[in-house]
Amino acid sequence: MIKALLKQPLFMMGFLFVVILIAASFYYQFKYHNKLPQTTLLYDENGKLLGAPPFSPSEVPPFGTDRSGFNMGIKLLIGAKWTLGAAILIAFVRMGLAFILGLLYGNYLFRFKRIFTAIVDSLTVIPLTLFAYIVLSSVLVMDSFTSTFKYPLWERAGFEGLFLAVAVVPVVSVLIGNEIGTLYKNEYIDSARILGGSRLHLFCHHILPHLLPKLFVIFVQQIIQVMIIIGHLGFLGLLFGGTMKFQPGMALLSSTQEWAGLIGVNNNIQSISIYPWLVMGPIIMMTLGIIAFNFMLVGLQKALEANKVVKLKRGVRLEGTVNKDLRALEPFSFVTPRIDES
Amino acid sequence: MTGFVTKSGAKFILTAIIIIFAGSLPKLFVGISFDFSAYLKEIHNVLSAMIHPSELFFYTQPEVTKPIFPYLWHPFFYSMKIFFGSFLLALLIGLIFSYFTFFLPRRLRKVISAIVFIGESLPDLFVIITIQLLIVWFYKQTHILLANVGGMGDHYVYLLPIICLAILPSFLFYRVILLACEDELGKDYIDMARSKGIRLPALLIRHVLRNMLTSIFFHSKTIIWMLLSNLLVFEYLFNIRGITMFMYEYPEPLIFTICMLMIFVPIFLFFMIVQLLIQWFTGQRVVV
Repeated sequence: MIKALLKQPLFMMGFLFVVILIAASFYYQFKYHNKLPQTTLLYDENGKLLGAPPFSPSEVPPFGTDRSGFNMGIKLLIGAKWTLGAAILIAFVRMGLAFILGLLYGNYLFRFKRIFTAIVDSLTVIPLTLFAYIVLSSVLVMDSFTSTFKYPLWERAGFEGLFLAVAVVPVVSVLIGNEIGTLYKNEYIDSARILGGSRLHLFCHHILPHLLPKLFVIFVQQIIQVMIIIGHLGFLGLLFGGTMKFQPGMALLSSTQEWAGLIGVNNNIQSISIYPWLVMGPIIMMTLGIIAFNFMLVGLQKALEANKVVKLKRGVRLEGTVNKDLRALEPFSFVTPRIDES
Repeated sequence: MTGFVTKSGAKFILTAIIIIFAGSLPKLFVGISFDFSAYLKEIHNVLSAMIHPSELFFYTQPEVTKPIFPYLWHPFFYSMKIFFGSFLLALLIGLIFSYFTFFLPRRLRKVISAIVFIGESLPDLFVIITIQLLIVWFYKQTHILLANVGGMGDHYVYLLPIICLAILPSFLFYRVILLACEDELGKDYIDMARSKGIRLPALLIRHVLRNMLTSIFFHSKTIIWMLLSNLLVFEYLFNIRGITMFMYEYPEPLIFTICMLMIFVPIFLFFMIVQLLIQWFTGQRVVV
């Protein structure tokens, strides 16, 4: 499986992008303690004043600086671990909870498939962005009169993460449960049962190997979804880990330099019309992050298909000539003309 | 027919109940702790508000209240026009583009599918902020303001929001339709029709389009809910006084639930009509 993944250039591209960014972000934290380089005034070699912050990307590469002269590139680097890390972590918690519930549902309650699917179908009606906004706004936004948060950073981030994880658990667990339930309908399950396999044996040896790759696919899909939701919330002014609001109606500040937050902070008409790089930097990083996960997803799916074909070929142990013939066949072609009974 | 009515009636009631239960959930959290009695009370509030909608109020200022109902109709219909407008536009774009794709050379088709893959992976936020920057750039160049980004106003624009909202779903529709088409073209009756001398355009329009209606319908369900999420962000961007903006500005569980129910009704009716139409179409096909 891992070997097959290594051969997928798309997967590796996405994977390396994400891993290197997170690693660099942590490295920066431990080595430089998240120190933000500040460019207050810029002079050319003759000592002539060039300008005051915010500097554009051409003056301070690669992403320019913000209004106080802090380097946007470094800010984005510090934020990488928050955005990517939070998305992965939330998706992981979501998958863990959904796996347990899906296990129960797929193994024992699959008779009620229609009811569960109908309920989950109705749940998808509710737009998560808006729902999350309503629940989270009371916790995440700083009280603008006293300029204090009700809860410390870790509790805020934890609550937001847990909420975003739990809110979609029903949908994902029914998805996983349906996968498990359909796997049980395969013919080889009946054979294994007749041969005396216990429930545990059936699950571990005949369901799990088919389920795991699908779980991995769902996991990456969930990461993408979480990133999109965090981005939406940031756009609406609800920054991950808390929105600092020092005066009503005044500029917002993020407590973590997280990408969606940087979008939300700079998403006002003044920034966009005069300093477009303030919002363009984070949105480009966010987009690249999501595209990286999408690449991983496609690579993963391709690797799974390739893996299946290889296994089929390895399983076939026939005489040399026949074997060659079989290799020439497409993965899904009829060997003999099939006669339908109808 | 009666089976259809009871089935969709049950589905409608189930969804309404779930919207009420889920919509009241924010009351369950007080900060980061729970309050279950407040949750039950909120469900009771929602139910009584549904019976007496004229008694619903919202706060325009801390002390001033305003009844919701005559006020909300305008944003509601406005949002729904934009919503369905962009949905239909996306569907149309998807259909037209996928139709012409079949007449392109194979190499070009590969390039297009790569572009569509990237376009599909773009988060809506990227599209939104790019549009925003383009509008500002266009204004700087020509002094024509295409949309009121960032300002406040009560004017109602249709064209630009509909087009912008339709960008991402049309990518999705394009891919879904293309996949369904290719699936359909592999079937036996296509060979039969081709051997009879029916040309590709006639084949696509007369046979393939009709046969893939069900597939498009199933996918359009997920697309429509995605569109609803995007609607909020687009209304926020264009400063449209629509219903999702209303929900955003007054983040009360009660208002959220009532508005969700209001949005759900037309979408549900739309699905019902489409479902009936498809039954009618495919039913005809079976007879023929």
